[in-house]
Amino acid sequence: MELEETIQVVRTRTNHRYTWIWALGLGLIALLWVSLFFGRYPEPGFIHLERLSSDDLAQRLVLNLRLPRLLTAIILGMTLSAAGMVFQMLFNNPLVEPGFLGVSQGAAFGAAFCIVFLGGSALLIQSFSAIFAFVGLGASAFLAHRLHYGGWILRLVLAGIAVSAFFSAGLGLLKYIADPLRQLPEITFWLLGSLASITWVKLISVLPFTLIGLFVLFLYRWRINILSLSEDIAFSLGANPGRERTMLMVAAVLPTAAMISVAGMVGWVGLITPHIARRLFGSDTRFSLPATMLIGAFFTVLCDDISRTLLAGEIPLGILTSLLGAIVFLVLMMARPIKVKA
Amino acid sequence: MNTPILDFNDVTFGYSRHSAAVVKDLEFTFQRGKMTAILGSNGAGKTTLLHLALGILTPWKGNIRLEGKDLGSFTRREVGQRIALVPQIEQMIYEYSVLDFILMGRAPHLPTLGQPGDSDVQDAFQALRRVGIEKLWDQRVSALSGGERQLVLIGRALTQNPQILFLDEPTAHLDLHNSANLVQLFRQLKREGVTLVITSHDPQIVYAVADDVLLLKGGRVLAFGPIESTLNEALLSELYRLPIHIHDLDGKKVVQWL
Repeated sequence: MELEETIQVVRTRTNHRYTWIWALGLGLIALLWVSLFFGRYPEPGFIHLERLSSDDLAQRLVLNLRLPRLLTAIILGMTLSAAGMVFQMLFNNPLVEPGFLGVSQGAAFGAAFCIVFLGGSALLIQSFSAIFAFVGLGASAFLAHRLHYGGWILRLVLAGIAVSAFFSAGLGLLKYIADPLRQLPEITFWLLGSLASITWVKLISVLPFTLIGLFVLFLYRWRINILSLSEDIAFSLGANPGRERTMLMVAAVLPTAAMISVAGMVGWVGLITPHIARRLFGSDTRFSLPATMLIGAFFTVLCDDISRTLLAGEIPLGILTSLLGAIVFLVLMMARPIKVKA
Repeated sequence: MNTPILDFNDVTFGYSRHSAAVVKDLEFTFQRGKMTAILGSNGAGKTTLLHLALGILTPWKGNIRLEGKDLGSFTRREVGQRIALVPQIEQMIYEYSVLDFILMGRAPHLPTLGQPGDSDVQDAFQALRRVGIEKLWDQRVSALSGGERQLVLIGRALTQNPQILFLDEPTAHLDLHNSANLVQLFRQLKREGVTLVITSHDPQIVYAVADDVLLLKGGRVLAFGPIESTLNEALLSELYRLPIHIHDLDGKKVVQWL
């Protein structure tokens, strides 16, 4: 009898958590809808529906620039935060972020290399940063196999650090020799991350990687808990930790590399939204993974709205995500527990 | 009426081809519904033995049979449905509630992409009740005492509904009350036909519940057999390199080493 009651309580709490996740989803859709009509054309603020229906330019602006940009912001936020969550779980390390296996620094080096030596058309920068993101990842994995120190997880972390440092040195060199008037601002702008140049073509070019990766991570949302346990325990719970972890890492890195190649380095989203989601929904990734994806998307869209609207010129997205991210993070961590999980 | 459930036949294993074997020529059989205690000094190969039995490690030589079939012919999920492991300690960085944590024990019974449902929650609560911490189900694991955490780990293993339960030093962090409760639980599990394999440095617990003992020294079997006929002062003293006395106190064995 008593057991029945407790199970009822558990059921209610579980439903409660799902309700909040759905609410976050609806909030995201609402934000998307509002953001679509929010911008600096024809004047800062919301566009009137009458104006939109009569103004050909406004329609094209909303459909061809704003819509793909907003969708990219959503996917970017989801990708960075989901990948961040998965890495933090699999590596049992709350300080890792999605690009730490040489992916971010590799992409940054590739983009800068392209800007300095190859003129840097948008498509070329995207290709180079994507290629070098994978070079970074490949080098990390290769080095991790070759290291003779620590377990597999530690070896990957150390190899990732070494590869990142290597590319970061190369990036420093490129910045040093870059033309300070033409090339350096472009590199800096890319490094700070931006969605200003997003078009449907760019969005579609990254869509297959991101959707497949995110879908796989989402399907594994409960399993990730088990894979975050120590090797022998995961094994004794019937998992194949080596193979499944590798598969999940690939599923996390693919979309990350693809998104960095179009959006540049948008920091902090992948590091802090997982913490916010865990704080609100508990560590069980069955809830915290979907939650972190939605929170990340919501946060990125919001930052991008500010980035393209606040000033006449674009504010780089990465600056806003870091600034607002740090504030939100601190407020939430200092507040009394306001857990959705009750 | 002994039914073998897990046999080691001449098993030899080492971690690297360049170094010597860690365990050599292991030969013994665990019986269904019995408890075997593995005794050995630190580094004798106890953990290696457990990892071999779980299929995490593959023997260089010899074979391991689970329910009469080669261990390698079972999928990992099938092994997980039969054998559960209770580690000594488990490092936890993220905060799980006791229930969310215990539910992970259902993993081998769920499909890879499955999620625990009501019946799994029920199983989890039954396991919590058996280890006596059902009141703590919504506490954070990190907020529990060392002993309670150990009970959580045992609870997760019971949630797995295993036929064989490996326990690595299960009483290391427990107070006397909880140790006594655990001894009761072990007896109950044995009656249900669960095979228990326990490593312990506490000979008192071993005498209280174990049927067989396996003495490991330097990766080899020093002795294996029923506890009454196998365990004696000479062997224990050799095992721990320390003079050890076994006293008989109204039919109860008391081990004295200080």
